[in-house]
Amino acid sequence: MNIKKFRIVILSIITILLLTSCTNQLYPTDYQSSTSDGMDPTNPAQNVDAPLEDATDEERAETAEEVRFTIRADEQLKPAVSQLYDSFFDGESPVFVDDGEDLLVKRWPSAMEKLEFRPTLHAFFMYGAAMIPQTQNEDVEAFVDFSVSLDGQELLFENGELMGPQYAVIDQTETDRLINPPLRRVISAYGPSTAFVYSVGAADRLVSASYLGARDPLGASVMEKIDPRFPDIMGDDYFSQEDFSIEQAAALDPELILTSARTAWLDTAQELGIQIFLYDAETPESLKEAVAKTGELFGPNTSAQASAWIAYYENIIDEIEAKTSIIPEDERPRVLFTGTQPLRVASGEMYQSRIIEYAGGISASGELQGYWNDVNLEQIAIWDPDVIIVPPYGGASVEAIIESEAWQILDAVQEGRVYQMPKLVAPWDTPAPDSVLGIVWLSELLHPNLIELACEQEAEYFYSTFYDYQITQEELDIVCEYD
Amino acid sequence: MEVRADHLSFAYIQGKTILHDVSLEVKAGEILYVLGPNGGGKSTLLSCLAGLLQPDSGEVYLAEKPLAEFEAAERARLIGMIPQMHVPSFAYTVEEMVMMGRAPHLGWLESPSRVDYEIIQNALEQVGLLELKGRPYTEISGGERQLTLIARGLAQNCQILLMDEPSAHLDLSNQYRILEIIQQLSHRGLSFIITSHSPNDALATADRVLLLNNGWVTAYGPPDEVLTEALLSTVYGVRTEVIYETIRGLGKPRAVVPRRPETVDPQSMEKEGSLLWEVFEKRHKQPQLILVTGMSGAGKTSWCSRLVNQARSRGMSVDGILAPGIFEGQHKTGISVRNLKTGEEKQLAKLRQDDSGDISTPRWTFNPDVLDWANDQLGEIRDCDLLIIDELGPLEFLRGEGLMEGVDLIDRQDFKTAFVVVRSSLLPNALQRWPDALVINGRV
Amino acid sequence: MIKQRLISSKRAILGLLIVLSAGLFLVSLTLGRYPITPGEVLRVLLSPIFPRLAVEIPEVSRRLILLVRLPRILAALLIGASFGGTGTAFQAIFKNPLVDSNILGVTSGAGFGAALALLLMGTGWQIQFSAFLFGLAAVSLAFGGSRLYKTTPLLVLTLMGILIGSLFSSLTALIKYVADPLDTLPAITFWLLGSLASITWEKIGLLAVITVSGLILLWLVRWRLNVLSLGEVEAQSLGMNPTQLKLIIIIISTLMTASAVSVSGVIGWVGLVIPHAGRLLVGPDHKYLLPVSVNLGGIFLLLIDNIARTLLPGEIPLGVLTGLIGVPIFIVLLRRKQTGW
Repeated sequence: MNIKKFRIVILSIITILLLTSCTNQLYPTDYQSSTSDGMDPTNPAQNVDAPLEDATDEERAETAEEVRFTIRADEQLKPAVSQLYDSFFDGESPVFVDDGEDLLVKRWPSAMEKLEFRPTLHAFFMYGAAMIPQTQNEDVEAFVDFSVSLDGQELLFENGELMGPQYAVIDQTETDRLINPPLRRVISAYGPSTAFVYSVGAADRLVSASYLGARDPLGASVMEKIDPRFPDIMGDDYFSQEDFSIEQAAALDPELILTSARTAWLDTAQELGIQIFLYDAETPESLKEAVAKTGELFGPNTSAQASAWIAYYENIIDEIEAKTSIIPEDERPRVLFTGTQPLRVASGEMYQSRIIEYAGGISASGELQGYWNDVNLEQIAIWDPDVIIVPPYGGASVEAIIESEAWQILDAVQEGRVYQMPKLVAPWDTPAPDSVLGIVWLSELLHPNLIELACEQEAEYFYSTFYDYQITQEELDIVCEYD
Repeated sequence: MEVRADHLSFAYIQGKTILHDVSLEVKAGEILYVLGPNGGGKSTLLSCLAGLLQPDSGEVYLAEKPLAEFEAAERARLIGMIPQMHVPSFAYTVEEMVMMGRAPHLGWLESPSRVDYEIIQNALEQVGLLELKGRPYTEISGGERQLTLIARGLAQNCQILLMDEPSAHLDLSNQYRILEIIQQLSHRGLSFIITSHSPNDALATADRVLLLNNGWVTAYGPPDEVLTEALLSTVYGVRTEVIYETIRGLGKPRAVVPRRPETVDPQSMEKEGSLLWEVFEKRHKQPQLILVTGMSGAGKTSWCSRLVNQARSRGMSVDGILAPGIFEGQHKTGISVRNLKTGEEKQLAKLRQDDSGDISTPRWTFNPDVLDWANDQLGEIRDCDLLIIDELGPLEFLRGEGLMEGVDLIDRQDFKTAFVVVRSSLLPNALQRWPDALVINGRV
Repeated sequence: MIKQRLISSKRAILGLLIVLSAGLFLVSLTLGRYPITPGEVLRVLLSPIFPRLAVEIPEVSRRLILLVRLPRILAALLIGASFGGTGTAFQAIFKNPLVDSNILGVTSGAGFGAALALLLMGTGWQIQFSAFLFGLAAVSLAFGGSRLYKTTPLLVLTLMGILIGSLFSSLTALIKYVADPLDTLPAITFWLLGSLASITWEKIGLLAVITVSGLILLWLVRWRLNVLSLGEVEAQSLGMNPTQLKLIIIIISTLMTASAVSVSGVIGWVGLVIPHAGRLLVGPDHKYLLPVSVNLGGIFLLLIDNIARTLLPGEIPLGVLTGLIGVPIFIVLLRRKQTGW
């Protein structure tokens, strides 16, 4: 749609609304105070303003030739809903009802209720306010989609319903980044940040991205199923932590570039005058922070989805912790996480060691510091791990270890307890949202009798919820196998 | 052991021949010196004789057997080569350096044995270096290094030693030491072929001298026959003077020194005993050529004019040409040519403006008509007391054109005394053509 | 006599170094992160002859000694000796104390070969084979290239070596550029860094055969190296065919270096500096210098590798230690003997 025309239409609508129902504008102030605690949106009796609202709605319903669907909405959300409705259905007005609605629009805690183990996602068109369809209706679905879409969001920004026109988000280098919402063109030059963007549901904002684990044929094919745009926006040739094609970036005209704090070309990119958002997510805490901030960047819906993931991540960790806490520290299995070479192991400071701990194990090489460490077999013999995990990248393979004669000094090798961490697209051991499945997978491996989680169930939930992708049974067979 | 070279020719690059038809012979115990200017082919000749280079034609014989038929090791057991002063990359001791002379006597995979050690002790003793044998070769003096290399040749047990400029860079006492050792060893039957820049060393020690110039043998024979003033002047383009043994009377030349041109005043013709006076006194015996030299602008033409005046006043017949400069203020912009007999004068050359004219030097463009005229003038000259040619230049010496009648005139010796102006840079060329000429400085 | 004493002192130094190598070899077997007593080591070593001795030894210790320590220690000795020997030989034939056997590009070629194999085929014996092959190819190219030009072949050869070396470095850089930063790139970087941690018996076979036979050949021509180091013309005048011998030595050294590099990755420094240390001990006479450098190289690399594998839980890169330990030792040697190079 032509934006200028769009704006003119909206402005005239606003003017009309202001003239015809100025009373409506006065309500929110005292409404807010009266419903701030113990609000139960399902109880229409609490909605003190309902009668007055009903009158105007019925009036409109009469004039409409046909009612598309009915909406029950919290009073102070009605203006926004009306604006969206008017815009989406070309000047029509929504029909608000008190019950029997097709669409429920209500305030909803933006942080997901922890009680829900696997949070359900709702359409958050504003901060703390979600749209929850009550009946199956194409119009309802389309309207909800529009409300959280870029166009819908832009409409709300321009009408002042959403925070704007600029807001600051602090990135992980403690730097304020001014954002002009809504973000439409974003480059992600850092594999994990791309995973963050996908898992908060903002993949449509990417114009080019570098991916984690999408170079191998399986990763690439799944990634294309998750996002059909993947082959077009895959930007590894131009953008990565090491390289940055300033010409290509300029051609894409991005509003924001996401990358790691340890990026080589930051100064070059500053020359373009493009806003840069930096990540430093190597620990569980900073990973959660990174996901939350990614959600914050793109708006209310992505914020809510980020919160949902964080809740899920914490729930999984708490669940395993609850089950494994009975095991004394020295009886927990010692897990060695190796790197791209068999004799390269993860240090205690690395995220892989956290995964091991969350899964109820102990990192055998936890005494090491820094990043990956090269060690020799004698050192590994001293650690004498119970289980060895190899990563799903860098040419690492279980065979390289179990077929080596020298490695037979380890019981774990002789008894075949060497496993490869799975991946669908992003490896499950890297600090990306997918790593929650790495924790599930490893805990199931380490404590099959204690843990009630199932890799398949969690993988199905995770990918459908956060990547909007129905994982196939074949893929489940691959990722949830323990060979 | 006798070494003989028959008609050697050699070229590194086809068409650029370094050695032309060189023959020589050295008998057991003889010392042959190879002298000649830089780039004359001395080192190349040594390499051919050592078998390091294969001559393009001709043959080197060792005891009447062609050198090419020798195995490398076999050859190295007969001929030793002592390179010019060099410093190896590694600090071998004197002893280790001498030991390398045993290489041709040892098998490929062999290392020196006790016998070899005894041989090199002997060699070191002969050259008097026994005390220094533990010292690094890189830290001893140049003379000692040269002695070390001689000892290496002795350890090689060879019959002929080729030495490339053994006395270069050595002080007087070291030069003496080396020459002494060479002579002593030659008395024991070792032959030497030595390249050198020192005719005096050759006079002192050589049995024969080979004078090599531009790859051609200019002279070959006993030192007193080869190292004459005329031959050395031809080869080196420098007037030399041979100093003879005077303590025990005449006969044996002792030293060759370069003779610097004297500065002569035209007036001194009158002065009895002066150079000019002698020249004119002796003119009746045989024609005398005098080359007048000096830097450009030193006044060579003025000097000639004065001489002409002087000679005319004494009633001598004067002929030839004078070439006074044409000046615009301070700058010489042209050269004219004047017939000394008729006084006729024409402009011969002008300062070069562009590339035109095929008769030109870097600075001057010559008028071909005037050049022809000058040549005609010179061609007409017959038998005069004093011939002046001012001057012979690069056209004549380097390109064989220009005042060639003048050159012919000098060669014909159709005069009693001739003064020919030649700039100093062309003097070697003039001396190669007329080695008997006297050289004086024409400065006023 | 002074001479007698000088020579016997050189012999004594060489003898001492041989004893030292053997001693260090045995001591190294008892060193490691995993606690194994010297007695156990001895019993494991003697168990092939007296099988009863090994009965009470834990399987882990036995395997560690035979499968981990022994090949690694042997490899360190062989590779160190190889670098010491070839470095000495190359310095002699190039008349240049600032070169080692890498001057003709063997390491760059091997690095490229390994990177190519890692990119195309993954892991296994192909890497070693490809590294070896391209090491030889680089030197052949440098040698062939220098033949295009007729005069001053030594200088041209050096120049060609440097050129071919940089050509292969560029090719390696190209491979690193196209390699997956998560996948192949770390493996290539790891290989190029050089390490002895992943030595196995299979990798040692070819290395041992080539190194030992190469060292024997170099040892046989050791005195000729003196003559060669004087330069082509002088060697020729002393009845040698320097071109032929030089070619043979280059082929031997290249085979040795390529087989070493293909096992260990790139280990610099040893081939360049060990010959100098040898010269400080026994002087430049290759009759003694070559065996001394071979022993010094073996001892030095074994020492370095012992520290690399035992000091910390993580392996210390060899490149870090060669400089940190080698340079002070070298300075001490330099101070002790101030004259002669």
